[in-house]
Amino acid sequence: MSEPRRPEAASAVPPGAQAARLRRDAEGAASALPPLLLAAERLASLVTGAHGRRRSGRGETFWQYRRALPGDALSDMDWRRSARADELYVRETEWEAAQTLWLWPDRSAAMRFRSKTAPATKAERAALLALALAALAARSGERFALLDPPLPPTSREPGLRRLALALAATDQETPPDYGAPPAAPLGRRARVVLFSDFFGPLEPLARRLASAAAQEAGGALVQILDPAEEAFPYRGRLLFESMGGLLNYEADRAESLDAAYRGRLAERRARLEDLARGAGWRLFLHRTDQSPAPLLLALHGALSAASHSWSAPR
Amino acid sequence: MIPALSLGSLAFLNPWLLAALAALPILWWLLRATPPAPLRERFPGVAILLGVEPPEKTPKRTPWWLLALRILAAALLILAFAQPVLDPRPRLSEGGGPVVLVMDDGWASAPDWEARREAAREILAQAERAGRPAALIGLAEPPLSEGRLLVEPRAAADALGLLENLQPRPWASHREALASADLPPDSHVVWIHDGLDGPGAAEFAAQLAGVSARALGPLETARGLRAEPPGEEPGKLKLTALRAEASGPETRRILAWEAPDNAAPRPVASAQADFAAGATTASAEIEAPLDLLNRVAFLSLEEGRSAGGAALLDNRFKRKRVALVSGERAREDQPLLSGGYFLREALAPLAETQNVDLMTLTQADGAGLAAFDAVILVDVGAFAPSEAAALDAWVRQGGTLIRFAGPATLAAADDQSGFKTPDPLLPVRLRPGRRTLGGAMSWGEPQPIAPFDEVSPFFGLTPPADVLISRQILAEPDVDLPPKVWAGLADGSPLVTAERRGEGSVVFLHVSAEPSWSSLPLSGLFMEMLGRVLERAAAFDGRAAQSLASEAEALWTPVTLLDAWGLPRAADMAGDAAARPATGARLAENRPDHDAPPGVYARDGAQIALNLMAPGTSLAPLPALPANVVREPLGGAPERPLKPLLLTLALLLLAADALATLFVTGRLRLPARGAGGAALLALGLALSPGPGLAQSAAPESLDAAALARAEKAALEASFGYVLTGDSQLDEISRAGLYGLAQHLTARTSIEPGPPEGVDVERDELNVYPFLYWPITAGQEAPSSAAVARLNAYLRQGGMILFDTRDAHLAFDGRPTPGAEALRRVALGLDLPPLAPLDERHVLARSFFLLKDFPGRWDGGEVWVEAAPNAAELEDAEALGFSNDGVSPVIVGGRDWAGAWALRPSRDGWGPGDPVLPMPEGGERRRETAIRFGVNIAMYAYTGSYKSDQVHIPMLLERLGR
Repeated sequence: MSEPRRPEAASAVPPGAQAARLRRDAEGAASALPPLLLAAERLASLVTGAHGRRRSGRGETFWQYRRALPGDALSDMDWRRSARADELYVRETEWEAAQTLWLWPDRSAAMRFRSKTAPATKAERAALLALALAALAARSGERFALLDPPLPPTSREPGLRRLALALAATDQETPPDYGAPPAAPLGRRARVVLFSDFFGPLEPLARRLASAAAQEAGGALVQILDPAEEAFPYRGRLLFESMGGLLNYEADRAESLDAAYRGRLAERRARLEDLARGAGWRLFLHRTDQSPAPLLLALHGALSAASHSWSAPR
Repeated sequence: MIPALSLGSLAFLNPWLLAALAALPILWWLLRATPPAPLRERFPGVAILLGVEPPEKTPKRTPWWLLALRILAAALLILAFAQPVLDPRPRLSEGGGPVVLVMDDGWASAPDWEARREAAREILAQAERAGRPAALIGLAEPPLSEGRLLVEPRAAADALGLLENLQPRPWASHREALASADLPPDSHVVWIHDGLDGPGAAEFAAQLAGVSARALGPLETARGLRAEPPGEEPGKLKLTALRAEASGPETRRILAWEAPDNAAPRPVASAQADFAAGATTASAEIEAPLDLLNRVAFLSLEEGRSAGGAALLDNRFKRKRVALVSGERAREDQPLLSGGYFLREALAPLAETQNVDLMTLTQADGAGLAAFDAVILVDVGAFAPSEAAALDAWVRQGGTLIRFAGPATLAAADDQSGFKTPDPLLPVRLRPGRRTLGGAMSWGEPQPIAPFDEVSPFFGLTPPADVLISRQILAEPDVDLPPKVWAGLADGSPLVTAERRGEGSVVFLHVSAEPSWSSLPLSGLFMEMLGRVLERAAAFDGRAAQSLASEAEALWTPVTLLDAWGLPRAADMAGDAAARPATGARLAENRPDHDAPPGVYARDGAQIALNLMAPGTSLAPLPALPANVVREPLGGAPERPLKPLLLTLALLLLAADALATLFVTGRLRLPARGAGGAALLALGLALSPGPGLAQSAAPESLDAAALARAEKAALEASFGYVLTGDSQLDEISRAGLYGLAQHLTARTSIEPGPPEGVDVERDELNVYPFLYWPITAGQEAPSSAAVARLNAYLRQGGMILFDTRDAHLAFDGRPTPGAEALRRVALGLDLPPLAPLDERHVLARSFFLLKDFPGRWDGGEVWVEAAPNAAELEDAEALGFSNDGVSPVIVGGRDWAGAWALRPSRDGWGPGDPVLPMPEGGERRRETAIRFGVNIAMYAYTGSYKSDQVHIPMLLERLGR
């Protein structure tokens, strides 16, 4: 569909102007990128070598040859190795299949909320944490991917840049009020980190978790909240509206809703906790006025532990 | 026109608008139904809030107080547009009866006369528009001699015409005329009053009770001014400003005007009268050179001028300048017995006197005389022809020559040689020889003064019976003698004679100015007589120098009259029927009115000023008017429309409503508590007193305590001992002085009170006859302030007994520690040379005869001031430094206090028991020590008296010889 339009656009707009627009967009993206990337890398640098490799060795694909056992498929045989000996050898590729880190920073409208006392929006904080985790993964030579916007698994520095660009890209259309993680083929034993406020409906999340659990994908839920969303500092007669304006709630005396709101929040957290536990995941809570570093450490630790447990042959 | 709605002092000009108040409940209902719009708040957490049931179900309605605020604002708006008016001015368009306009047009209406006339004009114009008849009554018009005032309303236009001719009068309004008048029925009375009480005011006010009336008065009544009768201080004019209302502080400037003959009055001096808050009088003083003060013709307030605020001065206010020429032989030895001295003293409160000699006074044809109103010649018997001519010319121009008899006058009168010309400056011819009454050689008794007859200027004075004349010069009996006599003796012989010469006069007193001839100069009458003479000095009338009361029917012609604004005008130019002569009796009433308006009245050259504010008068505000009388201020806004006030209130309420709405909807947050706390703190700081007050009070209270102690010591004459800080030693000192006091009480007439411990740094020393100062080794040198006080104490006759208590026991000839300490103490003290005390000293004889002066010890020397030789003593006495040879210090080391020390006896009888044992010599030495103590006390009290007593036998022997 877009293919025929391109020449038209080129004919309508002088080539120079088009180049200028491209460059402007690129600069806009790039100008947002380095601070984010830098911040993420600085954050990641706080986590020092905690990712223990089980073995030294090159490459992700080769682990070892072992003697073929009955039941091994013929296609698994390494004929070249087997030719040098009398026995058949199987080339093990177990290492290669695991350890893609899937990240999902929620980019819904709700994540763009920022109260007066908060230093950043929830979305910014989510992007920062996601990128920092990606940077950690990249350092330890692992692969990472984005669920939304879709970014296939990638690794190393160039991948990190692409990830940063994808996160920094501003959406033109209005996002939905509340987000839900999209369905994606995670691959076995993938690790998934979902950054969101989880204020949206929980059913999609539950489904994703269930499917992730089915794929033996471990991970973590990070609930990022604004301080105002936790403290509920509202007084007087207020009409609360969701960021998109779809939902609203009128309070005659907002202060009287304090306890009810907190109860609801705690309830939702318990629910998230249940969901996470059911899938073997963990739930982390984060507030935008808190430092992201402790959370990053905890996340990293949790993911490493998960990789231990998952990478062990069953 | 819809009539205004009137509720007491409140009226609504648009009363129909009040119907809108009925709509308020609807407004209430409407407002109540519409709650304020909520504030929109973006909040993602709303997702989990959905379905939450609000715990507090507040109705979606406006809070009641907000509602009340709005309703109130709306009500205020309605009320405001209904045009409420407080103290509404009665509309003359209502009613049809006659309008009686009563105006106070006395002097107090003068300051704001135009405002009054304007108000009157407006009222009459209203009456004219309303077609109501009107009557205009000026209350200051001379009242009818008989019958009652007839109030006959005419067309208002006529009254308007009359109003233009109405002028304030320089006397008070006669309300009593109207108090009894019949008011036409259904009349509306408007009284433009001056706010001052006066005769008939209360009655007139009471008459207003029944009728429709209103009273217009000034916000500030007219102020009065009074010149106080001339006092004794020369060069000062004392004034009193008066006001009716005792309001707040007020300052009035007073101008003193001179009124030259052919020019407009001009101010020559000014003063300021400050009314204190609540005071109705304020005094002021004009202090100026005498010649300037003498030119002052009248005084007036600078602002708010009226006849009451002006005071005319007559001759009584002018201090006369009197030249005193004494012909007495110089009495250098007894200046206080000279006639000149008596005259100066007597004239001091009356006039400025100046001693001159006749020659300087009369040289250059008497040019110097012009400066004086009167010349007093005390016993001048002879004149050079030029002197006599100059004096005579001066007298004929208006001077007053007052002469006193005396030896020189007598000698001149005694001259029988005929070579001398008769004294030209005497009112009568004198008989040679003096008349002596009551002497050893005469039959007659000293004569008292006869009562003054009515033509005498002294009429009204009462000659005291104890004023007796023993010598006088007699006048030659003559046909024209009797009219010249102002005062005579009881036997009819003249005492004071006077003669008119030209404009002036010559007065002769037939006695001397000093008390050798009579006791007249010693009596108060002398002064009063001089005053009367001087009073007429400038306008002497030899034929009719009588006081006002003496000739009640005599007519006095007004010379100058005040108009209502307090401006003096020559009476012949006033062109007024009021410028009629008044009788002396009328003037004596001192109550100016239409038949005697305030002004200066003259009769044969004598002048008297009649002022509105007579001595003793005061101004009082108008008594309360009946409640039905509407009071209005004059000139200012008569009605107070409440519309602006109500509108402002409504706007404020609406603003408050806006704020409250913001608050209710959460758009406005109350400031944090910190701000309130800070405000409270600031308030507290502002209210708390300064920190220095409490501390600064402390030293004063200490001083007060010390002072109280000193006062007690002074009343009881107790001895003092210097506190050393060693409590044991101080106790011995106290017991020692107590014991000494006991012995003194028992043996002598000195009965001292209980001894007092004295801190030389702080306490008052001068109340102690002597101080006992035990010196310890640790005694510190007193501070320089204390040294100064000690020196002053010693110089004023104090005495200090220094006791080192160590018997001067020292090794190696070095001074003992006590002696060292004593040196430190004495370093700054102003001590005389000291010598050892021996038995020839007064101390050995002042009560007991003593040979030695022991304490508990008997060692060392006792030192006192070395006996000065006679020459030194004389010098000191001449310089006033002498202490009469009494030694200011006694220095020793014998522990006298230890020997004297007693503790109170157990049974309360007798002096008590000794505290310390005597180390040697036993009780006999203690007795000697006590006797020495008694001698010291005697010495301190009597000084060298006893040493003088020593010489008595010798003196007696000399006298006997």
